[in-house]
Amino acid sequence: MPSFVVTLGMMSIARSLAIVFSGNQMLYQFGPDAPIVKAIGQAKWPLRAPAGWAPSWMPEFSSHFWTLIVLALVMGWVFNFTAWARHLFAIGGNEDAARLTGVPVEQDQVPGLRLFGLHRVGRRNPAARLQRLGAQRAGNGLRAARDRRHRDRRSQPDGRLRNGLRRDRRVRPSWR
Amino acid sequence: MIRNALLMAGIDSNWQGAFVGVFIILAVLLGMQTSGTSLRSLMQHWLPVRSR
Repeated sequence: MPSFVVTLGMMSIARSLAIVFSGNQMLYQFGPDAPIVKAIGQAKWPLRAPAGWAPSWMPEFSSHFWTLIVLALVMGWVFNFTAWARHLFAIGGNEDAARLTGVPVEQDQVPGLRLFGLHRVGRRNPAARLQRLGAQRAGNGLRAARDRRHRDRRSQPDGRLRNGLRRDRRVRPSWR
Repeated sequence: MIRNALLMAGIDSNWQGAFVGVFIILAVLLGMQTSGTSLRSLMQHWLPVRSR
């Protein structure tokens, strides 16, 4: 299913439902866990002089900023220094090609999808896909055998071609 | 066009986004069906039914 379009449709639905259920009003009451929610959302570091050690000229960065920094560092390390990330990039949009080059697609893809929260809707049956790949390989083998027979039929045992021409040995085709 | 039609039909404007989203997803499903991807196989992927 075209992921982008469906995401757009789902976003429209979710936004509309959020407006309907909230009555198009901002929420200020967070219930019994309000102190925890506010502690997470309003945390800052470093704190300035009376409460902390930071001088007055130093800005206080919010918890969202530090979360971004930590996640960027962690994901940067993961994407640059792990084999799993290389496999994930290699899979790209063509699982079959990645599988043929030896990438363990199923093993690498599931944690990747979990990480990015992506869900491949409408994915075809993996068993059927493997079966199709096998059929393709068999077809390639049959074609190769047919080409080999055709090539052998063209030449005579003494090296001459059927139509009486002699093959120039200096420019032998690469397939010989 | 959908928004105008919903407005003329008297649907609450807060609900119009939901209808637009539903129409988009339905259009995608229709496109899949006409382009050869079977909705039956899609449903089997979501709700696998084991045959005995």
